[in-house]
Amino acid sequence: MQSTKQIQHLDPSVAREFLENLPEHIRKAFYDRAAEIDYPIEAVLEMAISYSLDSEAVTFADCKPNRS
Amino acid sequence: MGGLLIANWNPANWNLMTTEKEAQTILETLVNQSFEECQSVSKTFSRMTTRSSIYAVRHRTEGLLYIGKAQNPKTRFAAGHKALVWSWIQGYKPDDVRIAVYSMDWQTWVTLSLELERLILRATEPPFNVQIPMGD
Repeated sequence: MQSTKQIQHLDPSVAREFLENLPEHIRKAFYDRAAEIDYPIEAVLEMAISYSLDSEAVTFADCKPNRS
Repeated sequence: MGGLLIANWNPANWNLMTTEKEAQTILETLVNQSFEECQSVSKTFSRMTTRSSIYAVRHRTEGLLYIGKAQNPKTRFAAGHKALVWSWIQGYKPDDVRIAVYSMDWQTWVTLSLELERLILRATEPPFNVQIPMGD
């Protein structure tokens, strides 16, 4: 398993473990969104985290938490 | 000469050149798309994609007004986008403003997000009034 720090994107196994510990309706919403847009589940989680810090971001790589 | 090129070839530089070219091609696609083919402005943006996209807000004659990224363009525009507010303040008619959208899969985002970010920042200085030549 590569760490998220190394690959600059959310590792799939890390994402799945995190999702398993979320409330059912939140976990389901993430999986539904992944199916809707045909993205991997770890991508949808990475996008959600990125957006919470920077509404212009899609990935961790382009996330600028202090963007004005 | 060919041997010299091969000797100096660096895979990292090649990747950089490739991603820069791909990102540039995407932005050119947004700018060159026919205005009539772009998404018209509406309350619900019902025809707008929900997939993560690069988008360009364009004016029929004034050209590119704004370029940016959205994880879900449909909700982003339906919720009210600042570029549309600026267009309204500017006195532009809704029929003269449209949105070009380019959706990408996740792997493309992973590959190009930094390069696209760089090109968008370059294209949006100063904001709202970048004068990039339009294709139509």
